[in-house]
Amino acid sequence: MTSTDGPALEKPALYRLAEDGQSLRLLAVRCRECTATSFPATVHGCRRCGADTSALEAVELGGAGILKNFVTLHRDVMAGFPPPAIIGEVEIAPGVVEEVHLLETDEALLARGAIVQAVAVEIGRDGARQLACRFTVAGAGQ
Amino acid sequence: MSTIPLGTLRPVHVVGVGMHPYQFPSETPYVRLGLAAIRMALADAGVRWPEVQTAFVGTTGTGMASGRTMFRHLGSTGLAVMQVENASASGSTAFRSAVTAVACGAADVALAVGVDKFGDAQRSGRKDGIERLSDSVHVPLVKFALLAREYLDRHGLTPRDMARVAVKNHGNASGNPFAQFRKPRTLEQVMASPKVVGELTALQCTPRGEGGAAAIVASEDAIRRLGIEPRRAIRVASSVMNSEPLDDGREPAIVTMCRDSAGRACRAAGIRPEDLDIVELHDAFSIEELIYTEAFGLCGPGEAGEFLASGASAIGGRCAVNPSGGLLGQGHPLGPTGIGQVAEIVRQLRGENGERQHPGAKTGMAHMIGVGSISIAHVLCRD
Repeated sequence: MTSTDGPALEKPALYRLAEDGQSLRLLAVRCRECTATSFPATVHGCRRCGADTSALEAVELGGAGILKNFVTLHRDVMAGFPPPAIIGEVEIAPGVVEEVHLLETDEALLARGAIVQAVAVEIGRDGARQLACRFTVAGAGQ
Repeated sequence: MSTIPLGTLRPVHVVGVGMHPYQFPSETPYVRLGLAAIRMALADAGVRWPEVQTAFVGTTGTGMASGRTMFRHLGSTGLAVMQVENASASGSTAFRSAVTAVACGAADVALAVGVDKFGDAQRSGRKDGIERLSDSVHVPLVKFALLAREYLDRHGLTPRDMARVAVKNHGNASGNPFAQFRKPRTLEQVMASPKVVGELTALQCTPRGEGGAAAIVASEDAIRRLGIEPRRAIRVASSVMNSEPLDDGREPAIVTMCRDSAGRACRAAGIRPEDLDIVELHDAFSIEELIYTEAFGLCGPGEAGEFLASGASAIGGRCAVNPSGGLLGQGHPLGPTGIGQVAEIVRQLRGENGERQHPGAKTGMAHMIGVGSISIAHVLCRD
């Protein structure tokens, strides 16, 4: 399911492959002026206080988070995600909640409050293989 | 947050409204959609086109300079023209601009018109140079499905409780000659329509469409000078606009935004939420009506399901919510939507709404949301 070499990352501005070759580290920034963490890192300023990009320092998030909520896409509402697919809201750092794709396709395998981890999953995109970010319940057979 | 201090400026009244029925995407040129609405509004007001001094065009997808392209078919009078884009709230923002022009004395008679065709609008959120983990952040349907699950779970409600919003609003739309959907739907039909995302079924999502809506606003001087019947003039009591705050984790930012704009609009109009007889709100997805009726203070926290089920939000209830059918039933062609809300409220406050008339309606609020998000609220009163 994963690889340490070969396919490139689908969105290298957002994450990097961890040393285990499977999990992903998320690339965020922290504001020196208000200490807020922002993700994605490619921001044009601090989302909380508006400080200029020069006030932002790069930080890495471990890629684990708390699953706050999730829903199933029953219809083909997003290109590349045929149903059933599950979108979750994950708190990847205190106060930073992101919508993510979950690896699981059955809601019965998920629960609010569960710890989920960002992992690299090989996908096909325009005829090429890439490593995309998916979240999965921590310890779910990685 | 921005509130136009209408209480300290010249009074502004809506004197004419008109619509082209909302419809599924067609080959009809936008000019025809817009002109139909404008001509109806002029006739409703009893105002001739040359009396209109300035016009604001709310649209998301018709392209640059839609106003002049339409207006030249009404006669080239030299009026001031401005195009307004504010996503789903484009029409509401055009209306607010027209109200401002009259309130501050820049014009005595102003037109707000919303017109749109489906499919031409582009989202700037996808062009900000920032990738996201999931492109679902650009899909409002997913956001509201997530909100729905959280809200239903928190308040112990079921998907059927939420689906009743669609039953009410499709029912209201069934008697509305301007509505895109004109078929009453049972709870079973709403629940049996295909699931789209989460608990939302197809009949709980607004349709794609096109249409036109127009409103003419005027000063009291103009009302006297043009011989407009004062009884049919509906006063704009407040106009408020804001945008989403940073989510603080206590409640979804969109809820905070809507509570603030609706609350400020009521206070600026000198009324309480319970004084509202009519509310038209952004029910692109059924869950929104539950969330906003609570956020607006029409019912207490967690009481929106009961408020709906009891008939309090039906025509003839405590406060008719979306008597037009809302975005679910009347439709949501973007540019026109906010002005269509105003048109419904004006007809209601005049007592001219036929079988869909809410008895004794004196005060109404049009509340709209634009993706991003921004919200905009207008309170209208029959004096």
